[in-house]
Amino acid sequence: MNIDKQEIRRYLGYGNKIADNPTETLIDRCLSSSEQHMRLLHVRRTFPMHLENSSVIVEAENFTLEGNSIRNHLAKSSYCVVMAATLGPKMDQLIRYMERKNLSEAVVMDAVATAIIEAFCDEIEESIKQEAIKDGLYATHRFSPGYGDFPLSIQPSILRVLDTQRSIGLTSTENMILIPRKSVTAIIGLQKKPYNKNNHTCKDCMPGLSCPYKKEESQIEHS
Amino acid sequence: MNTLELQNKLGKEFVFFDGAMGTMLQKAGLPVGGLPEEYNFLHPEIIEDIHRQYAEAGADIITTNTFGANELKLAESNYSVEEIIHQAVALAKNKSSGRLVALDVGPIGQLLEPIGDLSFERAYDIFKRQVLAGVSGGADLILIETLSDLHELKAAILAARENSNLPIFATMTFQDDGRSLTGTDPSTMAHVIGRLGVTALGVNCSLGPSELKPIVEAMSKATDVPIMVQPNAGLPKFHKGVTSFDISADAFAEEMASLAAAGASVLGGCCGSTPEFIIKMKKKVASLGPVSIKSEKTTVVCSSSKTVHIGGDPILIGERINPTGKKLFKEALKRGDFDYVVSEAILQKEAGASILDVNVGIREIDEREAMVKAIKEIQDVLDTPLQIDSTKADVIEAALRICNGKPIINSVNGEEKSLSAILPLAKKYGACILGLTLDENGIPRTADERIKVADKIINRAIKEGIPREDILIDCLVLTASAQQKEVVETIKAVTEIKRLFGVKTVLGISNVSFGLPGRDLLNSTFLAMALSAGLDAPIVDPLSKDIQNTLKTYRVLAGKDEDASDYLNSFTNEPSSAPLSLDITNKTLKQIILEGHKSAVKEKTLEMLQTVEAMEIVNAHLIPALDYVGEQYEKRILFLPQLIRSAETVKSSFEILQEHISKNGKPRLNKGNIILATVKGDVHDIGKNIVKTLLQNYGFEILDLGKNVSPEKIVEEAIKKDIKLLGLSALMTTTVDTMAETIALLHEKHPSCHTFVGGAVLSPELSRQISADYYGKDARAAVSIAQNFFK
Repeated sequence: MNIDKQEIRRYLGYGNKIADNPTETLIDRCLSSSEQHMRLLHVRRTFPMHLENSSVIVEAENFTLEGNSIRNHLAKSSYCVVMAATLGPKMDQLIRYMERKNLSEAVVMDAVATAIIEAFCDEIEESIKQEAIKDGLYATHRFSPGYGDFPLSIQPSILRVLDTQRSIGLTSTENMILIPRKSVTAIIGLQKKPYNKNNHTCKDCMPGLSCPYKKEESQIEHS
Repeated sequence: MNTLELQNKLGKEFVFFDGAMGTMLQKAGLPVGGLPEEYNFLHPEIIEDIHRQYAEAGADIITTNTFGANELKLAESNYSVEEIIHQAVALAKNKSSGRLVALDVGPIGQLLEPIGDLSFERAYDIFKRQVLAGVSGGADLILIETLSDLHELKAAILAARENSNLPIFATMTFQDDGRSLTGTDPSTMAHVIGRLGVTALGVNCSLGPSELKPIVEAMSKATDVPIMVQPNAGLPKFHKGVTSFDISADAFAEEMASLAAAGASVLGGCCGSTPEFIIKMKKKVASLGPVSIKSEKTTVVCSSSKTVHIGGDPILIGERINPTGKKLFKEALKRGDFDYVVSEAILQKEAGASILDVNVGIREIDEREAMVKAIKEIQDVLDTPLQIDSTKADVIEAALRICNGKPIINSVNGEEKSLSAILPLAKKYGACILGLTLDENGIPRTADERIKVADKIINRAIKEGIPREDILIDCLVLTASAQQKEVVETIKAVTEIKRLFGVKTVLGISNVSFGLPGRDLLNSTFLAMALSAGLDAPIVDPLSKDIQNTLKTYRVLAGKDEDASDYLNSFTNEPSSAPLSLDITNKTLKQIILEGHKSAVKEKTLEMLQTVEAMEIVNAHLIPALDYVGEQYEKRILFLPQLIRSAETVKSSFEILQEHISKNGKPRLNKGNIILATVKGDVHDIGKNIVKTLLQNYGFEILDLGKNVSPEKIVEEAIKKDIKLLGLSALMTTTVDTMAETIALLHEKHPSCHTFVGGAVLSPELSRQISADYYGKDARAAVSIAQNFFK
């Protein structure tokens, strides 16, 4: 798996700079200790879909995706892949442990874990893309609840159609927080026309939102 | 068959459950993704037909279509838990032609604390409602299945036992690494659940039958309770949105026979299995009978993911979580501050303690509440098994409920009132007991008399139904300074009690040296004597170097450390020179803080205390250094990890100062009391913890209520401690509403208290909308808010 260290530094507030020496050492240490604590699991299913008025109808019972953002994202798609991935609860436990033992290490571990789940999703996304090509389709990038106006309230439906509790141990709280914490759900569209990823940047997510992880203009090209 | 006949049959003949419900619904053409429990009303004829098919296939027990019939999963449904369950039981009874009907109870669907935000107590209530509905609907037994979390399973079993008299069958699901998704291994599951009064326990779902063999074998070594298996029909394959399984009914039957040979006697199927699977399985095993399983009967204590065996290598029980003689710990307990408990737990675990004794008994507090809180906080971060240490039965019972695993109760003794209060609790919750050899007449002087008391305790415990291997005896250590002659009586008693009764022994070592100088030395020599006499689990201070050395050398000399390899390793791994021990004379406190050297700061602080007043160190050294780091952070010259490192360094210095002040009998440094909490529904903690550390650095006293805290709890604490400043954190848009609710309740009940809020989704506008008094964009901002407020 290709974990981008600069992403870790970015989560820690260093932007596109290298971190100080002790923090760099800590990043390396956390990367290596994360290996014994994560259990990468994922599940995905492909559904036929169609657009209807302002929403996307996934052709499985009780499953409609609401919002302009997701509708635009899947505008040209005829199938969508619903996916979920997690690092498992042991990673959460490790971070909780470190919070009590050494808070600065916990903060770094948290950033490392976030980078790992993102890298894991990149990998899944890539394999979906490769499979789609075999079927003559093009995959969009992944789109998660919380992006743009795609509501978090969709989480329980995603988890239900993937039966994530049984398959990978992933659940959500009443407030739509995914548990284990280092987990991602997302939708990827499959379309007949080629897909251009570069049209999508942090700017398109929610204009005006002050997201701590928003990439600065100069960083966007690197991503 | 009735339930009595079922109980008699178990273990002697095979008992057959039915197969999958979901697979059959899919076969009947019902779509996936909806709530299958609603089909009890929408398509009752299909459900009835599935039950009929399984009954005809020869299942002894028919399982209701209620896997997800709990109040959380049915929140959006038009039907209540009671309606769904009553209807489901009725459908199963209609077509079961005299078979027994099992109320099916699956996982809640949300995870319990500490992984998720659902409390154990809430989980219990959710299960209780299902159990009561099952009972009133007429179910014959309760099947709790497919759970991943051992603690959730315990909540379900307690709910079933305390609200029904029905037999309980309990199964968990395991992954291909041999553990459940939350980390429990089959042996630990069997040790813990096997003691909770269930009729059968085992494994379901998970994998195909061939993969489950090691799981069944591990369980049959750990428990004598009949073992149940309901495997999937092989491993799942996903194709075009449809799930299928990869083995045939014939292959399944073959593998089930092999699981039966490994010890399983209650057999059924899970995902992918159909009536054909049950017919073929039944035919295949017809000529066999259940093998009689004989567990190893070892003495074990467990957390949710760890089983510690007592009786081989000496097991260290950490004694440090005990307020006796510890002023700072007592003060922390009175403040409601559990950081002390957690850091002692971490230190002892890292020093090699395999079990942690937990004692929070001081007069001034509600011991029951404090015990529950301490256990929750420890379980939040560690998976070390616990020893519950209290003299009060109600405290012990509350601890036993919340404890995730199989603990030791410290203690019961030969007094009638102790035996009658504690033994039933140990039996009910499946805990080990530590029996102290004293009674109404106090501690007997001689070994013989103590043996008599031990005999009484052991007999009574066994009569109560506690297995011998769950009984440990502490023959009590007296102090060499006051009762020198009796020290050796203890040693004699250890050997004799082991020989006579075959139980494991525990001793609180440190008592021997009370009142004499050089305590570590006396303790470690006494430890060596006791270990030679056969002591299994000493209660010690694992941080003591002398204790560690004695243990290390004893293990070599007693042949427990094969080829002396651990001993040799401890020499090769000894740090050659301590690299972090900086030359502190050349560095100022400010430099040490800037560089974040936690060990050096302790030395430096102690050194400065010789000439400088504590308050002066805070005001003239710590705070200016922190201010400087903060400014550098704001200018983006230093970054978050560095800021926190410096803050933690200051915290270490602060702890030394507080200890110094406390020793001199002066009041703690305190610039103002503040409550911090992450609001209900939110489980993000790191941000709040950073704020906490920084505020503590600046001398504020923080009462940290933790995460996922209800408005009522926050307001109650604010009133109780008459708090004037309260900080709230929320990271999700969904939990800002709870924040608003908390502030509204605070304004109503405790209007003199001000609030500041922070967290990723908040903004100055939003904080005004929810009527917070201040908005803190980060931890530094929180410090200026507090400084201005308490000016």
